[in-house]
Amino acid sequence: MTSTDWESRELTEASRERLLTEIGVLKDSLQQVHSTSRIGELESELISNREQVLQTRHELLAARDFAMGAAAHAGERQAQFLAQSAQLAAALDRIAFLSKHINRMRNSTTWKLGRIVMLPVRIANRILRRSS
Amino acid sequence: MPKFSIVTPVYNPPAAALKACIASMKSQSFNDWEWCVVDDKSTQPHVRKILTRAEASDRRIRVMYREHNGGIVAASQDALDMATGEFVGLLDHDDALHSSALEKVAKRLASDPDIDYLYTDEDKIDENGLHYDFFRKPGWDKERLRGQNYCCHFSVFRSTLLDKVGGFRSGFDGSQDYDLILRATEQARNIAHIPEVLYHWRCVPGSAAAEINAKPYAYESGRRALEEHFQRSGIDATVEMKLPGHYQYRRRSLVSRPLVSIIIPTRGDRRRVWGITTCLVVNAIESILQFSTYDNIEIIVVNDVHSDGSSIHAFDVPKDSRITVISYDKPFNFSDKCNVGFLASHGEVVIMLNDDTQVITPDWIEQLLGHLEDPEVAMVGPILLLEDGRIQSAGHSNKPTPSHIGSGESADAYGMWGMYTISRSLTGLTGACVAIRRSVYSQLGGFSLDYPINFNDVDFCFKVLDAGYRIVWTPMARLYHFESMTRVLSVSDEEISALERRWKRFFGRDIYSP
Repeated sequence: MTSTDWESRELTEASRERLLTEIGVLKDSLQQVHSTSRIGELESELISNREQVLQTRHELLAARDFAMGAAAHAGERQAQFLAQSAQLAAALDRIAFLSKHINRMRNSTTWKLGRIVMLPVRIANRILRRSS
Repeated sequence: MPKFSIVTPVYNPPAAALKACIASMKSQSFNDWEWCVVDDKSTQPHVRKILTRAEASDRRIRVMYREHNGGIVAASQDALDMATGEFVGLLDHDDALHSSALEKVAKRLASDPDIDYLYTDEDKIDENGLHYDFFRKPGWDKERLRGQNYCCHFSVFRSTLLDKVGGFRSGFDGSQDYDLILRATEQARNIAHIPEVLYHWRCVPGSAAAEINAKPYAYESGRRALEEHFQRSGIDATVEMKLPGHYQYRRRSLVSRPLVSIIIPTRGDRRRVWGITTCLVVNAIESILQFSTYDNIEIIVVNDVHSDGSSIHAFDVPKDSRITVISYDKPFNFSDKCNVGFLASHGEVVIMLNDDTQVITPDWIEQLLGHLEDPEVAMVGPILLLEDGRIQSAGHSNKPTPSHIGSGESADAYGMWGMYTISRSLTGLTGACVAIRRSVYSQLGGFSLDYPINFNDVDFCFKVLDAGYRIVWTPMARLYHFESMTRVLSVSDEEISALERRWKRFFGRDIYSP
């Protein structure tokens, strides 16, 4: 091997190594670019997820209030129903009391005598109504 | 074994009062009772005569005559030792029971076998037999009992409970009943209140009923009884007397010092306060930072902004890393702003604070937190004062409809039965300043969006009560509330109907403010 050959081979070897180094540097840069954009993506994803979580928690809060409000509304209706039932029961009691009172009155001697005394008047009234 | 043993220590009562007391016992519509009377060596001869005659007239009346005067505690304990009944009632020698007292108490006790202690309403009788000072008592309120012996007369205990707590204690003369009630209620399974006057407290000269300063030693005994109650309850507190028979306690230390998030919804308004144009939110924040002794806080300001993000009224909050300002660009909704602030906060306890407030008492946060250490309590509020120093709110009452208590009264007013001087349970608080446990705020869905301006606090309080928690108001924390300086006072029909749709059944009913 001549000295020229040797030099040429060394030069080839050196350029190969330099090229490999350059390729390595380029590869690293490329990877860095990829990671940076990935981190950016992840960060924006995280922000969006956080906002979603906050939104969901906000909605959850409102949903809980809605459920409690619905239960309270049902309670209110139940209370109204019970109050009306009590009013109805009181009215029925009053009707029963008055019916008994009327029956007692109608079974009394005074009432019966009154009916007998008023009989001619009732008959006269009936005749008058028919003739008119 | 009789149903009731009534215990009465006797020492030199006026003859007429003692006779009336005996007559009230003998006229009871419920018959299954015994009366354990102990005369503490009375020096007036009429006492023995009257008691001897009474004992002879009814075999249910048993009288013991002490050989030496031993004081009210010794005599009361002797009477208690004589008792054989299932329940024990306390009756003073110059007072009177309503003729149906024992009948009504028996009926109430029969309705719940777990009742270990029961109390009723009471009034006073003057020398002419006229009734006055009708005390409509609240339902069972542990907090109020720590401020005054509001249960007092007529008190009925299950005998086994008295055996358990050891009866009366010497050294508490004059407040022996307060001490007994404190110890008994600490261990009672269930406590009941009959909201009817079944006891008449007679005002004879020299009695505590007639003269508030008649027995100063009794109030000192009461203070000590209360101090011992706090020791037994694991609360490190000092007790001082505000008024005769009215006590205030201050915790020396808190069990824990959690992060407290103070949430302030604002628009950044400026108004004249004490003649000076002031940015309200900045003033509120500065007062918190300047006066509060509790430092584990964060402040979340929820500020209304235009759709382009610019403030409606620009302001600069003090430079402090604990302050966060959040922009709110939706249409005004106070409830939603509170909820947004809550979601951005991290504290174990949140304090909802209006921007038109200003701290007065430096330990206001500690006072509010102290009450939240009781797991039954979910919400605590302070006394709020107007710009001119009068009371703006001492809590809410549901009678006749939800409204402020004490509004417009002097800040130094005691209130009926001293109610402005002591901490007590209530059915509501104003949302201008309330401390709420974070878990509860979340559990109950925060402030309802159905109330954009008014009643959000009222609705939330109803939710708190509905969930089984208690609400406490305390005069130990004081703030100014320059009420409604930041918005026009108007109540929408929608808000009223929303409130009625949910809670109308509770309007006009209030066990803590009868």
